[in-house]
Amino acid sequence: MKYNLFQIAVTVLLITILGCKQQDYNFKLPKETPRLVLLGLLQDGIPLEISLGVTQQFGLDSINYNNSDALVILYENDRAIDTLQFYLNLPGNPSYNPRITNSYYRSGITLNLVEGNYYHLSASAEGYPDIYTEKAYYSPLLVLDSLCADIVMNQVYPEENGFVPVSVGLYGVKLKMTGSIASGDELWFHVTDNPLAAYRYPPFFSTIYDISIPFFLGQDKLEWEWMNDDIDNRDGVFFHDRNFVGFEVIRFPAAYVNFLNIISKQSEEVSGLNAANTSVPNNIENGYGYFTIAERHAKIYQF
Amino acid sequence: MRYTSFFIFTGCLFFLFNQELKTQTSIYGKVLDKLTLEPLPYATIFDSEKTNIVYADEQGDFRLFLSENSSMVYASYVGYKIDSFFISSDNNNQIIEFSLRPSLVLPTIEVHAPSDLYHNTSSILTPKVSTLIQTPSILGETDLLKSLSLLPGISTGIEGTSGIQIRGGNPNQTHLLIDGISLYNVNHIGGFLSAVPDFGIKGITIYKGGVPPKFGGRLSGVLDVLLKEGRRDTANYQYVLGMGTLQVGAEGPIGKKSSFLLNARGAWPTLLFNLFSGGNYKKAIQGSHRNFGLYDFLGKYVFYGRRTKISLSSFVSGDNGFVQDDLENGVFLDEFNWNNFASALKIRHLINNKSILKGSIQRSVYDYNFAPLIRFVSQQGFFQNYKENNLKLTDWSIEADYSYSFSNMLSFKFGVKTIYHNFNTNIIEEFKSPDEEKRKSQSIRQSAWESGSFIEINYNLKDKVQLMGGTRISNLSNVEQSKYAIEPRLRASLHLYKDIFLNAGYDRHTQYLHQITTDIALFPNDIWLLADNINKPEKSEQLYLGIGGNTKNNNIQWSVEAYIKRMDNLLRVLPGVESNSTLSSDFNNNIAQKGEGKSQGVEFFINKKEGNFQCWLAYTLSFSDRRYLQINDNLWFPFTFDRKNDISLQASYQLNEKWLLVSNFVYQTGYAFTAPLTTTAFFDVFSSFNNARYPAFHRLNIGATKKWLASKKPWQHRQLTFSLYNVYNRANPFSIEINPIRIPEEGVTPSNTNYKLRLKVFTRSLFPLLPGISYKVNIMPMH
Repeated sequence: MKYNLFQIAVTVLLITILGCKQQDYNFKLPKETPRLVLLGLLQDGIPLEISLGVTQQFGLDSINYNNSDALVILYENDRAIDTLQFYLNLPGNPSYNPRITNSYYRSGITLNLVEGNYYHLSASAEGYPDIYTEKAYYSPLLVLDSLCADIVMNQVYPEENGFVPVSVGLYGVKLKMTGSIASGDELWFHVTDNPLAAYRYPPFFSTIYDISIPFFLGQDKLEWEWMNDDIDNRDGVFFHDRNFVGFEVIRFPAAYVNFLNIISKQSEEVSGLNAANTSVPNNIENGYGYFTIAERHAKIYQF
Repeated sequence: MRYTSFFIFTGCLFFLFNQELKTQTSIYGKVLDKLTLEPLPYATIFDSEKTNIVYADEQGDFRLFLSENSSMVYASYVGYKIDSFFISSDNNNQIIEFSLRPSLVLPTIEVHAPSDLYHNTSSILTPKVSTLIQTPSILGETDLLKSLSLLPGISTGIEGTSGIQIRGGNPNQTHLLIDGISLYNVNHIGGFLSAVPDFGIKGITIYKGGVPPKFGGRLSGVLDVLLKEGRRDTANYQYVLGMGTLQVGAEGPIGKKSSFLLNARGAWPTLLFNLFSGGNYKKAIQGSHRNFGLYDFLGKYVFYGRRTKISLSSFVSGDNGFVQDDLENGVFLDEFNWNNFASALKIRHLINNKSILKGSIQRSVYDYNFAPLIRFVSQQGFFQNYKENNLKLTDWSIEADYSYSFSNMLSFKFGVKTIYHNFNTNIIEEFKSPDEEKRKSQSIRQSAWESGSFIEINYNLKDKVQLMGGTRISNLSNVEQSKYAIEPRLRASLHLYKDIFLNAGYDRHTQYLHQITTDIALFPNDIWLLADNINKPEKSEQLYLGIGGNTKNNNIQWSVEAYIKRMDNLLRVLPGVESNSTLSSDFNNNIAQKGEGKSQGVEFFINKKEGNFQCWLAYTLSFSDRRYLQINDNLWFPFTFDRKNDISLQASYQLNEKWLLVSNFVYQTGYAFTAPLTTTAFFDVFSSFNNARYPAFHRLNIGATKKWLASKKPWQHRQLTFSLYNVYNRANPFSIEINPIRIPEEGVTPSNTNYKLRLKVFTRSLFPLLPGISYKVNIMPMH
C-alpha cells in the first residue's frame, strides 16, 4: 500500500511538472483579405481632408493601420478634380489629433460645392483592392438667416510671459434659419475661435464640440435659441486673442449620424459578445468606411 | 381516402388482437433482489419455450401472457441467478414474486437494462450507474450528470457546468426527473458539482428521441433518474469523505411493509471556493471574505401493500455563499443562493393482472437569489449601490395514468397531468448617496395551469418489431392563441438481420417555460418565464433513423444513428448584455424572441460492457444553429455550444479483486463566440454572430479505486478512490473576454488621451491538473 501511494505521488508530481508549461491556443478566427478604410466628410468651402487606412486582422500583436502610398482621387460628376496628398498625423502637425493613429490625405483646393452635383472618391494602393465611395449629392436644405450673440468680456489680465489673453464669456446665442431637414438628420452648432481649421476632421474625432446641441427636426422655419444664464457655471467659456468668434451650423445626414452613433457605441462597449449587434454601416465599395457631404453654414461674429 | 385509412387501421388492430387471442393465461408479478427485496428494473421474464418473453418495467413489475401448455416461468437479470416458478391454474390473479439471488454480494443493486430492451437505439440510453460512478471527476467527487456527457449526443456546455444538453438543445430543454420529480436546477457552484448524489440511484434512462408521450414539457429530451426503494431486509449505511464534501446515506426496512432511503451531502465551508479563487485567511482578516456552502438531501419512504405501493420522496438541494472584496476603491459584495425543495407522494395500484393505475401529487419550489452590493466612501460622502434579483418558482402537480396489457405484445397507456405554476420574480435596485436615495423595484408575477394528457400504445412482436406510438395533448392556460399543442411520438424498431436492428422515431415537443440566462453561467441572471401570447411556447420536432446491434455474446453493443431536429419560439439574451447585471431589471429590452433552432448530427456508439476490460467510444458529428430576428440580421448562426466533433472514450480495467483502473478522454470542438472579422483604426468590422471558435476542448482523467472488506469488520465495504482530473494539465479556456487596451503612442507623453485602442483577447481557464481522493465506507449486513 505504501509503495502504491508512493508511485501515485511520484506520477502526480511528474505530470504536474510536465503540464506546467505555457500553452498556446489556436482560436479559430474569421479572416479576410486586407482592405482600405476611408472616412471622409465633404463640406462646402473647405479643403477636403480624409482618413485613409487599412484593415488589420483581429488578434494580431503588431498593428499598423497606416498606408502612405495610396492614390486618392476626388471626382465631381465622375470627373477627376484633384488628387489628395498624404500627410502623417504626427505630433507637431498643426491639426494633429492625438486620439487617432492613422494616415491622412488632403486636397489642395478649396472646393465650392455646386447644388445638384455629385462627388465621390476612389483610392488604390498596392496589395489592396481599389475602393470607390458612394456618390454623394450636394443638396443644401437650410439657409442661415440671422445670428446674434451676447458676449461678455469677463476679465483681462496679463500672464507671466506678458501675453494678454482675453477671456470671453459667451452666454447667449440666437439663431434663425429657414428650410427643413429630413428625419434623422442632425444639426450641430459650433463656436470656434478658428473657423478655418477646426472642422477639418470628421466631427467625431474633433474636439470642437464645446457647444453642440441637437436641433429641432422637421420644421420649415427653424428658430433656435441657446441660452445659458448661469453666470456661476457658464458653458462655452473660452479664451480668445482675437476680436471675432466663428459660428458654424452643420447638418449631418441621418445615415452618417447613425454611422457615428454605432461607432460611438462600439467604442464604449467593445466586446466580442455585443458588437455583432452593431454592424458598422459602410458605403465604400471593396473597402470599409463612410463618405458623405455635410451641409455647412458659417458666420463670423465681430466683437 | 379517409375511409380507406380507417379500414386499414381497423384491419391492423384486428390482426394484432387476433394474434393475441391465442394466448390464454395472464400472470402478474414482480422481480426482486432476494436479499434486499429491491425491485429489479427491466428484468427478463420468459417461459420454458422462450416463445413468450417480456421485460419488467422500471419498478420490477411485469405482466406475462402464457399459452395453455406453458408450465414454468423464468426470470433472469445480469448479475443474478435465474429463478423459476411453476404455473398452475391456481395462479390466476395471484401476484408472483421472483426473488433472484445475486451472484456476488454487492452493497448496491446495479441496473442492467437488457441490450435489446430498446433494440440498441442511441436515442434511448440506459447506462450502468456503477460505470458512471466510477468515472473520475473533479477532486474525486462522483458526478453522475457530468459522466453522462460522455455518452453520444449529450454534452454539458462548458467545463464546470452540469446542465445537460441533448442533441443541440439548451440545458433548460432537458427534463430532469428524480424519481419522477421535476427539477429546475441541479448545478452546485454554477455547475462545479451536480446535485444528484450517487447513493440511492438505481438507474438512469436518457430519452433523446422516441420519448414516450407520458413525458412532456421540455423540448430536447428526458433524463429520468430512478431512485432505489430502500433495502427491506436490513439497514445499510454509507458515508463518503471527499476532498470537499461529506456524504452520509442510509437505507433499510421500517417494519415488514415499508422501507426508507436517506442521503445527505454537504460541503466543507469555504474550502472549495477558497481553493479556486486563490482566497486565503489573510485576505479574510483584511476584510475580504469568501464563504461557500452546498447541500443536498434525498429521502424516500415506501409502503408495500399487497396490490398497492405508496411512496413519499423528497429532494432538497441548494447553494449559498458570498464573496466580499474589500479593495482600495470600495467594498464589493456578491451574495448568492439557490434552493430546491421538491417532494412527491405517489401511489401505484394493481387493479388486476392486466392493468395498473398510478397517481401522484407533487410540489416543487425553486428559489434563486443574487444580490450584488457596492459601497464606497469618497470626499463627497458615502455611496452604496445595491441590486437584488430574487426568483421563486412554485409548482403543484397532480397526475394519473392507467396502463393495460392486452398481451405480451400489445399494451396501452393513458394518463393526465396538470401543473399549477406560480412564478415570482422580484428585482430591486437601490442607490444611496449623500444627495439622494433612489429605490426601484420590479415584480413579475405569473401563474398558469399547464395540462397534458397522453395515450401510448406499445407493440412488441417477439423482438422482431417494436412499436411505440402515441400522442400528447397539452396546453397552458395563459396562452390564448393555438390553445392545444398536439405532440405525436413514434418509435419503431425492426429486426433486420441476426442481431442488427433498424431504429427510427419521430417526436414533437412543446415547452411552456422559457429560461433567460447567460450561456456561460447561472449567475448573475436566471429568470424563468411562463409562455404567453408574446413569448409563445417553444416547440420542437425531431426525426431520427439508425441501426444498432450486438455481438453474438451480447458483449459489445453498437449503434449508428442520425437525427434532425427543429426548434421554434426560442428566447435568448441579446448579444452584449449576457454578463450584464442589469439584464434582469430590463429583460424585456434585453431578450430576442421568436428564435428558431435547427440541429442535425450522426452519433456513433460502441460499448463493451462485460469482462474485466470495459469501455465505450462515442463520437458525435453534429451541427446546431440558431436564428433570431434581432440578431445577425436574422441569418442562421452557430449555437454557442455547437460541437461539430465530440469524442468520448471511457475505459475501465479490473486489475484484480481489489483494484479498478478507470480513465476517460474527451475531445470537443471549441464552442462558438463572436470576433471581429477585421479591425480598423476607428472601428471593428463584425461579419456574423458566433463566427469564431474557442480552441478545441480536450481532457484526460484517470482514476484508481480500491475496494476491500475491512479485515476485522467484514460487514464494512471500503473504497478508496484516487483520481487525477485533467492529467496533462490542459488549460482549456473557460471564458473569453475581448477588451480594449490602451497603448501609449510613440513620441507622445502617455496620458489619458494619448493612446491608441486595441482589442485584446483574454482567456480564463478553470481547472488545472487536480488530484482527488475520496474514501467511502458502506456498512451492510452480513448474510
